[in-house]
Amino acid sequence: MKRRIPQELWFVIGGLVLFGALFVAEKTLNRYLLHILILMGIYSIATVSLNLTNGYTGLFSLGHAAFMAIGAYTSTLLTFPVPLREAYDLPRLPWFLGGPDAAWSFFPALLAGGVLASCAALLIGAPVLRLRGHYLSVASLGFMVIVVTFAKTLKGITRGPMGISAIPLYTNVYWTFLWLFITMYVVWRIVNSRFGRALMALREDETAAQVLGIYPMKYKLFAFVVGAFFAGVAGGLYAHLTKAIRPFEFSFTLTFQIVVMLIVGCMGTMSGPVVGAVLLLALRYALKPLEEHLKLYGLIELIYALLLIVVMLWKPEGLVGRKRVSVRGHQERKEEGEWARFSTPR
Amino acid sequence: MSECILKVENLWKNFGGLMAVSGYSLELPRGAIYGLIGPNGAGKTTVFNLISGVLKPSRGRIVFKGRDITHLRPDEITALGLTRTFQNLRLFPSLTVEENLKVAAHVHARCGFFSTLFCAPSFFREEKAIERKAREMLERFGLYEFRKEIAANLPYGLQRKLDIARALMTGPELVLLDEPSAGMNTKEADDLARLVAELQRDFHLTMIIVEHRMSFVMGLAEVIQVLDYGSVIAVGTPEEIRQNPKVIEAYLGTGDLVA
Ligand SMILES: Nc1ncnc2c1ncn2[C@@H]1O[C@H](COP(=O)(O)OP(=O)(O)OP(=O)(O)O)[C@@H](O)[C@H]1O
Ligand SMILES: [Mg+2]
Repeated sequence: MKRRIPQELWFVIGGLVLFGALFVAEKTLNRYLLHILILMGIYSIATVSLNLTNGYTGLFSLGHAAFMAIGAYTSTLLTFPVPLREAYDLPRLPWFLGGPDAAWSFFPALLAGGVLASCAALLIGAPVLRLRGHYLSVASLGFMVIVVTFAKTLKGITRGPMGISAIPLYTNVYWTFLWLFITMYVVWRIVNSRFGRALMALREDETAAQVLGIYPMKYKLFAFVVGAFFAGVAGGLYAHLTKAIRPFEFSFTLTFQIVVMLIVGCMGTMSGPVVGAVLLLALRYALKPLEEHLKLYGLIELIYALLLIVVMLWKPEGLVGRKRVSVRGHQERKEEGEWARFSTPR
Repeated sequence: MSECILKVENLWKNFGGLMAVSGYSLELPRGAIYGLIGPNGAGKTTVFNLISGVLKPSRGRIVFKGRDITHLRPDEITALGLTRTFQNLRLFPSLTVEENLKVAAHVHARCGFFSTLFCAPSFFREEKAIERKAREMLERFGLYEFRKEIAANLPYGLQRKLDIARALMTGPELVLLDEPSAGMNTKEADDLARLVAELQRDFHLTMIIVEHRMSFVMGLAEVIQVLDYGSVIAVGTPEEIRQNPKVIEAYLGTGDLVA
């Protein structure tokens, strides 16, 4: 008799295989390829966590890059070596963060970055998540602009537009994929519980969900805050990989990239966001020599945009997505639902 | 007469200049089935929207089980044991039939985020209980074989049933059914009427049913209210209503009042 292997076991097996593969990769790949691999992991964390709001809950947030910025700056500032702070014009830590002679180690700094990003999400979520559809997207984009502007202008803390360099290199494949594993685990647990069902119900029909006992604001905030936490962690990992961060890196281009990755991969599935992130980064680095050879800088963004349009036209459910329901029919229903709020429910 | 489970006092609702509900009142005894009928646009759905908290009344008071619920949110009202179905079916279209039901078990789920995250035993116990309850509901509504089906792909009649099943998953005491037999053929409607009567008995439900199909509502309801232009123009047993000249006039020309 064939027994189905429970999902839980798959997760453990998957984790073991993953770390075995990482070990091999770390021993065999050159530094450039390893760098790309780590980036794939970091972008995957970003897209998997973005999927929680944009995919499962149907809140199309464009503010994810802002949470990454918060995480990146937080962990950078916490871990920056004390002897270098003077030279780099960076403030020392206040007493409640360990005092002027302290620098945090990597793991707690990442956590702090995630927590701070979550706090920001909690703060802006209350007003922003009240909005619907496009309004929510635009408002969250506005939040991204605000955070980037702060990063540019708070020179005493962030060194302004020129950014911070000489950040200690802490991020490696193990850290990155450990975090990716944790992110996917958390999202998987959420999706397969009443929390995930509540999120999906809100995505499908908010009024019906509410009449069945789900308080929309609570669960929207929940998705937003959890997503922001992992975005913050991804930001921290990114800072400690590239060793230099500048405000504009967390702006429109990054926002666009992770959104494209998510849509191309498939929103609202476990594997979709990872597939999207890996595929698009692979494409980026495969095309990089061409871009440099032709001196056509921006070629890759152009291709991302084209890919996005092609996927939206021909496979709107994303590359790994199965068609569950005709997307067009679904949208008509949605609009009808939205419209009904303002006019007759007939 | 037994205890009054729902009391609506002088409810008003206007949309801009349009008075959709004007001075609606109701005293609903526990365990009863009441009918709410009236021509198109009379304000029946609006009354349901007000009672279930989806819309806020301009004036008036709603008391459920002795508690003023006028200013509560819909989810709070549901948690107290009052829920509804929708005239224009609001299933979760891309979730499966089973998932649609499980969503509705949310009200009584107590398992917190961290027990969920770390797969605590309480999580599995609760999931099992929800599954069992969903299965019971699926079987009762003849939906069991469709449980893995996407809700949007279900035949229309079954979608209507799913909507009712989903409402019952919240464990209500009072259910508002908005045109449950709409779009069904006569046989389906008759079956549904039987099922509704059964459910009412087995789950000790109190119900208000909005219907255009007179045979359906006259067969089930013990008391019927007739709404026209937002106010109640007649109340009585199905027999009284059928003979009430005001009602006949309100329906005049619509040909709806053929039982
Ligand atoms: N959200 C709303 N905004 C504006 N007008 C509304 C709204 N909801 C209902 N109305 C209006 O209020 C009146 C009553 O509508 P309602 O849907 O309650 O009627 P009904 O009795 O349910 O009709 P039907 O039998 O066709 O379902 C209608 O004229 C309708 O156009
Ligand atoms: Mg109606």
